[in-house]
Amino acid sequence: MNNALHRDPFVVRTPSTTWRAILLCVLASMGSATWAGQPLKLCYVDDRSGVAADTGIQSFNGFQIAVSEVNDAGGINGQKVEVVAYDGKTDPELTATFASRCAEDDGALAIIGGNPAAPAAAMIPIASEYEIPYLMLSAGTDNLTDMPAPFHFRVGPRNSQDAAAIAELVAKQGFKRVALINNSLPFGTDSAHAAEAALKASGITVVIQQTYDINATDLSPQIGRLRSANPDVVIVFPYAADGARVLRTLQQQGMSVPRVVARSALLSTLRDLAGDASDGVLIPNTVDMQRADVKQFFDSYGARFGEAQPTMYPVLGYDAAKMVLKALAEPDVQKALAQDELADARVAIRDALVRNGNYQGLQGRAGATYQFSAERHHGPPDQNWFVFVAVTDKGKHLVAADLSTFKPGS
Amino acid sequence: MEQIGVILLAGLTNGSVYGLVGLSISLIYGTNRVINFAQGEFVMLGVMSAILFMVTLHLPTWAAIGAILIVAILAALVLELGVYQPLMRRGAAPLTIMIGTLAAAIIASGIALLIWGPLQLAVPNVFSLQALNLGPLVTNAQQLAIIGVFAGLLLVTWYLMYRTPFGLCIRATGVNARVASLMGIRADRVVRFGFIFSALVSGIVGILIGPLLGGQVGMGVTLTVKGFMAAILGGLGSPFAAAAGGVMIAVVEALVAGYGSSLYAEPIIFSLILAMLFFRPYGLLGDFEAGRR
Repeated sequence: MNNALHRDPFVVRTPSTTWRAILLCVLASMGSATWAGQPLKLCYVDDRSGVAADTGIQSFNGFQIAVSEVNDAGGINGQKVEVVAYDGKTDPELTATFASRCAEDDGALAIIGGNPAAPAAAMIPIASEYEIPYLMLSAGTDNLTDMPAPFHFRVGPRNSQDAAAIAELVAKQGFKRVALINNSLPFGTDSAHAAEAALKASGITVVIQQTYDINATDLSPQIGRLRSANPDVVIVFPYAADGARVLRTLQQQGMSVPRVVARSALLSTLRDLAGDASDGVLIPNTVDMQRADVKQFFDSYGARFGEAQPTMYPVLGYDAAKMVLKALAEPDVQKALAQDELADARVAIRDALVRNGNYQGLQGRAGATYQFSAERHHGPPDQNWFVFVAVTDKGKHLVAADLSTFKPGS
Repeated sequence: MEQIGVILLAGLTNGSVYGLVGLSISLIYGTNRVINFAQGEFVMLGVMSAILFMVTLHLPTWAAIGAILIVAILAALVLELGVYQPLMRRGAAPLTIMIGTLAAAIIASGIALLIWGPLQLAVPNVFSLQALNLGPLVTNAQQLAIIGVFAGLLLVTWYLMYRTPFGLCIRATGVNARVASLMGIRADRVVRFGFIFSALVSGIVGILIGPLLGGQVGMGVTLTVKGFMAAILGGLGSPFAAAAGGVMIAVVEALVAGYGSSLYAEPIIFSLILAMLFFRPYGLLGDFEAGRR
């Protein structure tokens, strides 16, 4: 009988099975014996070489500052934090694969990342499947936090929050005739719809709305129609390069009305390409440089990575990391880690993020806090969050906006 | 009236870009029956080389343009000698060679990423970007240069193909390379010329559109798609039909943008291409190609 088994190519031989089992037991025991002393792994998955690389790189830099602060202070209960980073290249499939690798192979305790919307959305099902906390950054598509996904949290504002903040500013400053122009990608169209709704709610007329293709070299037809509508302010929802073309065409066609551009103008790419055509533009930001802690963060950032303009992107990575690091120090998480229960540790981190939902980070105005709860996994509140900055020096710098000059006819 | 003028000018400007890429694709197809999916990468190399030579190395403008064109020629030779010829020698089908060009495009994009990084970069303008009034229309010298270069390159291509003995060799090779060889034509050199000339055209496109679109290593794919659409709409077999296809696509885009919304431009254009292919499978102006079959 045994001889027959040995000859059957489909049956694994008993001695080999035994040795493998012994080997697995030895390896497993080695793993459990050393787990407690191993570094705590956090995964960072984002676009750092594709079209949204600006955002991914800056957020990753902010993330690294937060981790370095903890490690320099001796780690969490003596355990160092290790960063595992992947570049998703704006590719949703690749990004999802990396997120799976974080959860399954790397043994990460949480995933942070997700600036461009499509790859950021691709990580949500992975977070649900593996029950690993995932803190999404600036991906602003409104409905990304609408579906039940207990392990998914959003740290950056929704597009509709940007749009509402712009509408509130425009109404407060007394503008009555608004022109909207946006690119034809979901970011542009979603934001424009949200702004139109918010403006209407404030009793402001949208005199014209135009959409354009991001690859068009000449936007004269759209800008010509904007000019014909005679608006007193123009609101732009672009990506970086096409936003520069909008601003240059506005300048070329002699439209000197006040302009507000969505958060994409926080990226230096847009301002570099637009040059002096971007000067005077107002941009919604979530970073208040009047706050001492924010100023200190950007000083540290500049010392380590080179000077950066005060935008939300480095702060998003920093805040997300700080929230997770705070959760890692909680007793429930530490208990699960001590018992070598990775799944329990991830659940405990998720619960800690909810419990510490009113975390005060570097985003928002002074006193504003995130608003995470068991029901609400979108952090930024609707009030006291946005700060407007103005572009100066041929697009090179962002300064606090002087709203006294931002009026109809200015 | 002013509105239609603005729309047509925008259509002509954008159409010149699509048309030149379409013309480049058609030039290679016209010599060897292969669609070059790396055509947009030639444009990308033109744009990114402009950054290298004008910004990083601070070369004078005309020296930089010369250097950019040399890069384009080298890229064409690498594609022809490194992908096309080896596959041809092994008897690969045109579809296999097309996939080879696609692989080359991805490799080129990866190498460019190592050199220039992932960020969208500003490209210096050769011509002024200041507003220029043409009656009621407002444009700038850079945009007018795109239209002028488009017209000039069309003229050069036409002269070369229809007024020189070498042009006859190009057309003969395009019909049947083997028979052309039997007639004493160096078909391999004609094919090489097709690669080099189309890369030069694309390199020039890169110099012209860089200041308007900015430079990013992933920009080639979109341009290849637009050029391919232009070539299919106009007629893949003729560079002039492909160029006309580019202008038609851009004018439709501008009309939809001017009187409706750009949101619907691409579905409308693809519907038009599909409808046109039902009636004229060789493209709107593809009689040249059809007549040869």
